[in-house]
Amino acid sequence: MAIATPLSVSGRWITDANANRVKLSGVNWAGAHQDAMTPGGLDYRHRNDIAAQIAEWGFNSVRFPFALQTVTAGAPVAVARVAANPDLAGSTPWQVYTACVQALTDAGLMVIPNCHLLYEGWCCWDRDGNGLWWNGNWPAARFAGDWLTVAGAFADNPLVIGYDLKNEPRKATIGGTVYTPSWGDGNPDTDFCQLYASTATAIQAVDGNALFFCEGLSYAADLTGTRTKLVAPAKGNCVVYSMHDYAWYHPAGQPAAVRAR
Amino acid sequence: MPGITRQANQLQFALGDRSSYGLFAQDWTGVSNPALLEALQAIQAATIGPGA
Repeated sequence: MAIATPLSVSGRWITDANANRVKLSGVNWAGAHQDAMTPGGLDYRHRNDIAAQIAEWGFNSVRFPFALQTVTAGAPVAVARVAANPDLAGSTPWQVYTACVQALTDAGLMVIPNCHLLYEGWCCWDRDGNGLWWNGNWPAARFAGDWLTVAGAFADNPLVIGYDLKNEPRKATIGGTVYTPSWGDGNPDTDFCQLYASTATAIQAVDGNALFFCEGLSYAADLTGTRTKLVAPAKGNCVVYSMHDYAWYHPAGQPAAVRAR
Repeated sequence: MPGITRQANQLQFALGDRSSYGLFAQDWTGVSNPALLEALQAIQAATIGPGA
């Protein structure tokens, strides 16, 4: 069934422009956030074939991670990484990323860009320096600015339905100080509720129809802060709270911060 | 950070390693685990909620 965009949030539901529920049945397409800053598989298959395969399997959406570095890196990706997509040879990571977004939406898939990391690499752990939206090398302004670049690139593509603002908030050690993500306390360095609201509000100036996927604290395992404070961007009915669930989250391996609540 | 044993899942990767747990097969030509795909397909459709 075709999705009537734009989407919005109604209570616990995501709904389309006709007020029908939209259930996101999606996959991640990883790689653009990692060392090569190139989505996986482009060395084996054309991006259009990968997109068609995902759709053929019945999925309707793709969460598409990137690193901030992916957005602005100026050097072309390694030719070998895009061997099955020769038209992308010589392209920057961001040009490859946007070409893949186009391939996905051309296949009818909804796409959710996700800021997975600040600098490219493997994700995630407490000491990777990527737990917050800033660190000693990446000022907060960079996060906000790059998100405007991303949203500006996709604002006119109705199947880019929203933005997953920051993957798995977690501790970060910056300048020898350990910063622990918080929710609703107003701390400008750690308050993700505030960060989500301010980033979403800024993006709404360039893409007023976007949903905003807001991941919980402790590796997206803790949304208990929403009991007392919700993410409130300027325009409402657009916030989707996001939890991640891994086998190791459950009782024996559940993060201590969650287990204690 | 290749070579680091990850806190979360203890998997170890080096630069250039190919994912061994994705839905796509290693050569991206098909599904890696048909049973997993079938399980996911069984829950793709919405069963409750507003609208049609």
